[in-house]
Amino acid sequence: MSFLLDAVAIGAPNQLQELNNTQYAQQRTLGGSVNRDYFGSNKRTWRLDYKNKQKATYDTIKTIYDSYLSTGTAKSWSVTEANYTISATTVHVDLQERGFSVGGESYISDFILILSEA
Amino acid sequence: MQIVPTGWTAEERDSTRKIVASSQVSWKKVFKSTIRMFTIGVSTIGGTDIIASSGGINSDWNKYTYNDESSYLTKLSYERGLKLPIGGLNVAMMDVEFENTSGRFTPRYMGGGSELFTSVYRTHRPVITNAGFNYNGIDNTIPQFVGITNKPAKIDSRNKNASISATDFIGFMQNSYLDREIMFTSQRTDQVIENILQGLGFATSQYNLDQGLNTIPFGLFDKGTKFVDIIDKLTEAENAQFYQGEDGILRFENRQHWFNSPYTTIQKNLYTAQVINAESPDFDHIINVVEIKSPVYVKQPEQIIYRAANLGATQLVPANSTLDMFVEFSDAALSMTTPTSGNTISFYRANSATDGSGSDLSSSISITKVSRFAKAAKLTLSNSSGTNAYITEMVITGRIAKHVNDIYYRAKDDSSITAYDEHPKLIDNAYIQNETWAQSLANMLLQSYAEPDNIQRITIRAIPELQLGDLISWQGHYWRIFNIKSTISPSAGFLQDLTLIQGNTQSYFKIGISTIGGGDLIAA
Repeated sequence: MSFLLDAVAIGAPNQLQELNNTQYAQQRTLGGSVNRDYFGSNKRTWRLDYKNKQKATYDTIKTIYDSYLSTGTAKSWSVTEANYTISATTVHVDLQERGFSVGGESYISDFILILSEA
Repeated sequence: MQIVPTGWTAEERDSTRKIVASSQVSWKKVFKSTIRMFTIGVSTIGGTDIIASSGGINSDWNKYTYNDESSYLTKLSYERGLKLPIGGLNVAMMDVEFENTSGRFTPRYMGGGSELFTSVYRTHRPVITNAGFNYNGIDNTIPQFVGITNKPAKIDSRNKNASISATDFIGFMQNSYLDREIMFTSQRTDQVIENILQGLGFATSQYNLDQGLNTIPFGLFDKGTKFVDIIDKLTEAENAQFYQGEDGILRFENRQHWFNSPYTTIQKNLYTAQVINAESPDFDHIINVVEIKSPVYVKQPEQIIYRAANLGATQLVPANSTLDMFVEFSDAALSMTTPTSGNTISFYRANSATDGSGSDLSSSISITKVSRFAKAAKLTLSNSSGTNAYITEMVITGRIAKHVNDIYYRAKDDSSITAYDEHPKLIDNAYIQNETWAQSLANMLLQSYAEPDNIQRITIRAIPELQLGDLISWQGHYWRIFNIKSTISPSAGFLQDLTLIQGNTQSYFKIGISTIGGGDLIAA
C-alpha cells in the first residue's frame, strides 16, 4: 500500500492524474476513410500534486530527482494502493515547481512531481 | 513483390496499424567470416548460426556484427527507383534519424563518450533497415534497405538527435574507377557486368543477372572511367535496368524481364481507401522526338598497327641484357602478332650501329615478354650477344576495331509535337550497335512517352512488400512501379510515394513455350 519511486516510498500525493500518451499519424484517404498509423505502445504520464508537505517529504523526492538527472537513467515506479495499482515500470522524473504557502521555520511546501513512462 | 503472410495483408489494410521498423548499423565494421547462416538440417536450434535477413540470401553483408539501434529510431525515409525513360543504373538512398538524448551517437570531440564515439564519425558502415507491422502482438518486418553510410553521422545537440544517410552498394561503386583501360569483344552485357562485379569483390550470391540481349562487338573503356558509368551505358544500350533490391542483391534485368511470371499478372489491387493523394503529371516527361547516335566499330583484317624506323640510339638493348620498349597504336588493337626477327610482316631489325651500318644482330634479339593494353604494348627485348644492339626498325601487325561510321536514327510523333511542343530526347550510346534495335528503341520511347497520361504519382498508406517492376491495378488501369519513396515518421505515418508507368502484360515469344499464331510478341 504505497507509492514507490526508485524503490523508495514517497508518500501519497494530495492529487493524482494519469494521462495516456499515444503517438500516431492520421491520414484521410481518397476513399474518405480516416486511418491511423500508431508508433510504439501507449506511454502513461502521472502528475502528482503534493500540498503542504514537510521538508523531509520533499527531500526524499528531490534526492531521487537529482539521482535521475545525474545518472540519466529512468527510475522504477509502482503503486500498490487498494484501488489503484501500477505495475512496476520505468519513468522519467520531473520535479517542476515548489511553492511555500505557509511561512515559518518548517518551510511547508507545495510541489508537483511528473513521471513519464520511458 | 515480397512474400508476406495473410495476417500481414490484413494489418496493412486495417484502419489502425501499428508500425514497426528496425535499423541496425555495423559501426565498428567487425566482419566475422565464421558467421554461418542457419541451415535446416545442419544448424541446431539455439545454436550460434544466425538467421539470414531474407530467405536463402547469404551475402557478405550478413557477416558483419551489427548494433541494433531500433529503439533509438525516430524517422526513416528511403527511395529506390528505376531509371526513366531508357533504363540504366540506379542508386537507392536512405536517411535515418536517431534519438540521441543519451549522447550515444555523439563523437568524442563533441563531448560524447559512448562506445560508438569514433565509429559514428566514419563512413562506409553497413546498415540494414526492415519495416512492417505489429500484429498478434508480434513485430513482423521485411527487408527494406541494405547499404552503407556515405556521410559521417550528423549530430544535432540542441534537438538531441543524430542523422545518418546511406546508399546501397551501387552507391559505393560510384567511387570506384578503372585503374587501366579495358577492352572486350563479343560480350553480352551481363558478361561484362559480371566481370566488373567480380573484379570489385562481389560474390556470385550477391548478384542476379538476366542474360543480356545485347552482344557488344567491341567495347573500350579508358582508365579513370567509373564502373557505374560503364554499367549505366551498357544497361541503357539495351533498355535494361541495374539496381539493388531490398534484400541487398544486385540485379540486372533485361527489357523482357517483366514479360515473365510473376510480372505478367496483377500483384496488387490498390483501393481508394489506401490512396492518400494522386498527382497529375506535368509535361516534363514527354518525349516526342527521339534521336539515337552511336559510333560503329568494325573489326579490321590483319594490318600494320605500329611502324618505327631510324630509331637512332634511343632503343639500345645492352649486351647480354634486356630493354623494355613501349609501342603505341593509333586505334585499339583487338589482337597483335608478336614480331620476330625472321618474320617479314611483323618483325624487328637490330644492328650494332645506330644507323644500321654495323653487323646485323637481329637473330640475337628475342622478345621474352609482351604486356598488351588496348592502345599500347610493352615489349621486353633480350640481347643474347656480347655486343650492344640497337633496334633500327620495328613493324607490328594486328587487328584493330575501327570507327567506320555512325548509327543515326531520328523518329518523331507529329501529333504529340502539335499538342505539347517539341520534347526531344537524344541518346548517345556507343553500345547500341544494331540499327534495327535503335529504330525499335526510338519507336518504343515514342509509344510510351509521347502522351502525358502514361505516368502518375500517387501517395499511399505504405505497402512495404511492393517492389520495383510490380504490376498493380489502380482506377481500372494497370501500372508498373518505377519508383518507391517510403517514409516512416511520427507526423506522417508510414507512407509511400509511388511513380507509376502504365504497364501491360504482353509476353514475348519464347521457343518451346509460345505457340505460332498466338499473342506473344517477337522480341526486338
